[in-house]
Amino acid sequence: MTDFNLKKEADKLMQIKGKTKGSEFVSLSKYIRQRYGEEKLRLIEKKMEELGYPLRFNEIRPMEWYPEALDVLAMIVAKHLFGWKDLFEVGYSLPRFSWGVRVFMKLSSLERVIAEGSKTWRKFLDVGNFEGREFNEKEKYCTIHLKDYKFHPDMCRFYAGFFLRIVEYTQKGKNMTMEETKCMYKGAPYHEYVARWQ
Amino acid sequence: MVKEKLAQELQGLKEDVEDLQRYMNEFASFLPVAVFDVTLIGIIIFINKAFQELTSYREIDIVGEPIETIFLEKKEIKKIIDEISKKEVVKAKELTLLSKKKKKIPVSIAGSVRKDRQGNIIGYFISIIDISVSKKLQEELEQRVQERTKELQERVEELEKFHRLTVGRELRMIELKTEIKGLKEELERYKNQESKN
Repeated sequence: MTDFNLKKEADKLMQIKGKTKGSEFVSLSKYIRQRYGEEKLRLIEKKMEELGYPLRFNEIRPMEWYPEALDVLAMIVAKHLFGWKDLFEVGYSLPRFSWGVRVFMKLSSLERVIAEGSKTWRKFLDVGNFEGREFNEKEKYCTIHLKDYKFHPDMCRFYAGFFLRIVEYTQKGKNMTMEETKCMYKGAPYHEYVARWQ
Repeated sequence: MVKEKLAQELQGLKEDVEDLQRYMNEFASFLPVAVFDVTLIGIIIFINKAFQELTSYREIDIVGEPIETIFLEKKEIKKIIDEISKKEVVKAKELTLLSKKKKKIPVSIAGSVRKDRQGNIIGYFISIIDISVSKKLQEELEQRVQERTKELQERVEELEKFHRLTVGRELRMIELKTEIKGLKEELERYKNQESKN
């Protein structure tokens, strides 16, 4: 992606309303720091500034609300800078650093995540709706709907990774997979994720 | 007015939560003991600084992995988790920790249940104490005790042998003395008989 296209994409993205807790930026900064080191974090900040949307990770306060678009943009910038194929790995890795996910884990079973996850979602995002639709222990699958969340197509893979990790935290099983079976970018009214395990 | 007051209160609460979060992070970093917590199904979801120093694992390496990953005794750790679940607190269980570099470290672990507001168990807190130094000292001590015992046994055997020899000599001397006495008596009798003749 050229810098010009990235700028256009950033401008478009930053028009979308919705907020997220600062703790999510903190998780992202910890991930980048451990995977690439402090210098690369500064590189993201530099690029964000060039795009006209400055972000200082060290100044972020975990309990404050910030534009979700800024968080998404930081990830897209990182993808652009580090040559990531998609955001699956980031989504899958962020729960390792997330204060929010540790709180989320009070929902100790996948059944409870499916039933009560929407309340926890709202504590960290004031946009989008997490809906646990089905938990089938016998057939070994569960279904999650993500509604009213349309920031960037790259976030589809991010949430596939993120939800997969949440399922792994709460459900015993082997060879777990997470697939997006419906997508708002392909005309569906919501994103649908199906997790399966053996 | 009410809105303003609520906003102020909310801001105060946010700051309190942030302070609490910072306090917990700093406290966990300060703790010289390695601690971590796991979900109900045994997935590691938090590690502190001392854990990272002891195991060489960082969050990116180990958070999200099953607890068995870091112990040599895979079945034993599962049993310990079951025991924590039943007793709520378990102390001083000895296991072997496997570091990132596959170094085997003898450790003593303790665990406690983590509960939600309703009192449901939602996970476990585990602490790990490196006992390799005390274990090494114990082994060295046992080795020294074994060596000393062997030395003493050899000494005892020598003494027994000496005892057997000295006692045998003593008995032989008594026998010889008795024999001499008998011969002397016989000689006397012989002399007496000669003089009569």
